[in-house]
Amino acid sequence: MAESKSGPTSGPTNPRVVPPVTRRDFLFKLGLGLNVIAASLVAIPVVGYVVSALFHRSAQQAWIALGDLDRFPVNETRLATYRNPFTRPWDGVTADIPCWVRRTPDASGQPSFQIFAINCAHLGCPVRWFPESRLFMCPCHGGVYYEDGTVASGPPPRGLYEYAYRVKGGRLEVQGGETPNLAEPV
Amino acid sequence: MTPSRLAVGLAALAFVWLGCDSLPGKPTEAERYRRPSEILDFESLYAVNCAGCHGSEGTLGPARPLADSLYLELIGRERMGRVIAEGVPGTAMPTFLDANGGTLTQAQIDAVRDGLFENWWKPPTKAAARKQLPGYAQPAAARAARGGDAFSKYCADCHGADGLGPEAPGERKANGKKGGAVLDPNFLALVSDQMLRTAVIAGRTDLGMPDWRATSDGGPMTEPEINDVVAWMSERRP
Amino acid sequence: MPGLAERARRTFGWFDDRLHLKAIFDSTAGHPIPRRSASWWYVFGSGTLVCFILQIVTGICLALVYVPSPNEAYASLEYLNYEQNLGWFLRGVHNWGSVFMVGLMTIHMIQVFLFGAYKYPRELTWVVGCVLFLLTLGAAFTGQIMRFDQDAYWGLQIGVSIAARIPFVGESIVHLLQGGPIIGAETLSRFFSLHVFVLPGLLIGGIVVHLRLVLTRGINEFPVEGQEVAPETYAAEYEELLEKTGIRFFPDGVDKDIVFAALVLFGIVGCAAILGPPIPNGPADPTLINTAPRPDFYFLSLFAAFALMPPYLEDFVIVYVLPVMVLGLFAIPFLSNVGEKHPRRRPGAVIAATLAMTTLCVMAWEGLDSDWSPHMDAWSGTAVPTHLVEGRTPLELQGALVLQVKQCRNCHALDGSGGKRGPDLSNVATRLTEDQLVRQVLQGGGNMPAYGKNLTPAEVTAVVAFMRTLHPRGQLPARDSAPPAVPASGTAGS
Repeated sequence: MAESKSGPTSGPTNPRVVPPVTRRDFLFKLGLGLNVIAASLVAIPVVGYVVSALFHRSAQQAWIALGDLDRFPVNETRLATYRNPFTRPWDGVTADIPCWVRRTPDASGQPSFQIFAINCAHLGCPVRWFPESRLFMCPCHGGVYYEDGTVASGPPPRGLYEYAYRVKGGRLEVQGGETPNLAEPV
Repeated sequence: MTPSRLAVGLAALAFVWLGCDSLPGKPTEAERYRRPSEILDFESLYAVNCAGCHGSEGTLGPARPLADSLYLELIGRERMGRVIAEGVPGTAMPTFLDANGGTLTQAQIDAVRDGLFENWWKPPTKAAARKQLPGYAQPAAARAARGGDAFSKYCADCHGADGLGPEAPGERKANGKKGGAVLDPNFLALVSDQMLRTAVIAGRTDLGMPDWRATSDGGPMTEPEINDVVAWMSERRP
Repeated sequence: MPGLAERARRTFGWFDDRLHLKAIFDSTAGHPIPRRSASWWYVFGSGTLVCFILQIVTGICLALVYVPSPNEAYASLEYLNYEQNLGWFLRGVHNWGSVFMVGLMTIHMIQVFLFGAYKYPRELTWVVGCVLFLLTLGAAFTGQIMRFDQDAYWGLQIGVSIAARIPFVGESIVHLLQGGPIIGAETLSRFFSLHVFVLPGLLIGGIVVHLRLVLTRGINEFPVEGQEVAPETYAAEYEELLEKTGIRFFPDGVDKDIVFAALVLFGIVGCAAILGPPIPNGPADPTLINTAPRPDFYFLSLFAAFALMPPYLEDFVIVYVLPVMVLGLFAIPFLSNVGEKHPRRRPGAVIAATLAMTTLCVMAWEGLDSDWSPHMDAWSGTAVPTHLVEGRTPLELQGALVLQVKQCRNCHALDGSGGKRGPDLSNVATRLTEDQLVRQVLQGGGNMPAYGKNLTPAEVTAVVAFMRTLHPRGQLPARDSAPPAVPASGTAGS
């Protein structure tokens, strides 16, 4: 503003001068261009940093030992806890993931299990197992599941999420790493 | 500012400070969250885990009263701890020890057991009374065939000759002076022999059923009679 | 030697010469307002702003101690609550400040709506206000997360589960929210930076625009019945009104705002001192499953909505109804831009506002009771009323035991105690016959699980026998209307 006042003859208002590409124009456009490049040099890493949580998808499942087989009696459902393998040192107790382990009668000599996520399929609240009535109940909106994880009553749109499992060296292992939800039911 | 004024000012400040510290909104240690496994006082544990079936005061619940010194004497501390930890399979008593799929730690079960005895057990007044007490467990040597006689003698007056209670429902008084159908096959299917034996010995005094010493016949039942009647009832189970 | 006043005046002059303070002040705080707009109805906006400033101050103080890492967050919160000198009080002020802020903002919004203040030429003021409203709710939600107790953890879990239901992008939103595969370190850091940097920053920016719009287009005149807004004439009319009755906001029209600001501060400090801060209810440890998460009061109505709506509607509501409701809020000034402002001439607006607020309050009230939630400890902790135990037969007593041990009480009350999800069973015998009771227990239905596989025949007989006794004295239990084909000999059923 101050410059346009001080130099009224140097502007394009002077009809005799055909405005060539002045130094000022050039510098302005160059500056603009440089800034676009610089801004993208900053913005791309910033966006990439923020949305990086969207990637690294494949490495988020791993086999984790839950304990010896005899910790889980046949026909009973027990709470087991594992440490999430994809964890930061400052995760604290949030990386201790509980799950319900139901041991069903052995099929053809092989121990067989159902491992349920603790999270209700409705809105993720922690379901609790009641061995007396053989039901899982959710304290939030009253979803109820039978012992095999199917919906007994209430709002859940599907049965309990089930983790994959395997038996290795007399120990039960669960495939975990991610909290299941309706978008990614394990 | 003179020293006295300074002192008054400081006192006033201290007063305000203390006032802030005793405001009703200040969180107290009692409100502080404790992990469920850290709760070790009998009252809280009983109220959450036992009161539902055994009654909030330890009497007049659908399950056996625990505020019953005679019963506590009969079962004893050690056995009581085991029943809480393991439950009684085949009956309504659930298992409470976490290792067995329950919700309490061993320390909490000990606290419940000790609390029961501290609150509701009184040492027998006479050493003789203790001696008289029949054994807790049902011996294998019981003679079921003779139990019918014992039932007629001691139980039939209240529970009916056929053990199915008074004929008309109205006959059973609200105060429980008349017993119910203890030989109802569905009832027998739901209870253990130990429950029957405990009921015969310790009664359900909160509901009007006397213990083994004060039967309708007047005298105490002998231990063989108790053994027999329990075995006989057990045989009536379908 | 000049006097003190003279010296002060000169010093001010020195600064004013460089900063143009007087000019800035005159063109902002000194802007003219219609005399009638200096009304008690117009204090809620400034009250909200007072709350926001208080939130900034107390928030900075809390951040001096709080550690936004899952490993330490809960411990640092307990330190604030129980050890840090007056930490509990600052937590209380911050908590109640947010309660007051959301409350006053809602009242402000209703007042603006009822007074037609969003109409021409103040549409943008309304839109920015809606943005501020959403940002404030966001700050409230992220603030609840900062507590990082069990309510915070499971509230986050619920939020993530709702996001997961959005088609196509649900999964990505979940990952963005969590910052990792589970709720953990990066989740808390994310919400911390939202709560203390992003949202307050956006709020400050929004407030600046909001106030700027108040200056450029003037504060809304007090509505007069029969006076209609028309874009062609409005500016001239407003100008005329200012000329006739205009006063300067400062110092002539600010009195009520100042009094109200003090009342708000008294209210917040009083609540903090008497009611105190919310007590954190246990660390965010997912293995502590003995928990019954509840949201803070702002989200109680949403919590209630998800419990009460039929399950098949939930996805529809998440994907369509909620966004349409938010868009509708934004669209209000464009749907009704001209015409009457006075609420007496706009019965539709009054009815709509009343309905909306009644719904919100009723839902929040329901959320507070949350009768749909089972009482997870009722089965073992809520005693059978003693008058339902006395005089029962042995079988009926066993039935009462079944009712406890099979967790029926978690959803069914006896004499009002126990869960409220299912009907109270105190008088169930007058409603259902024996056959109907058996059928209900075995097959469930009506939102009750089928217990057929989980009860033995003896248990069913016992629990039905007990329920047959549950009727008021002198009122017979329900029976079949058709007489049995073969007359029962001897005693009837029960």
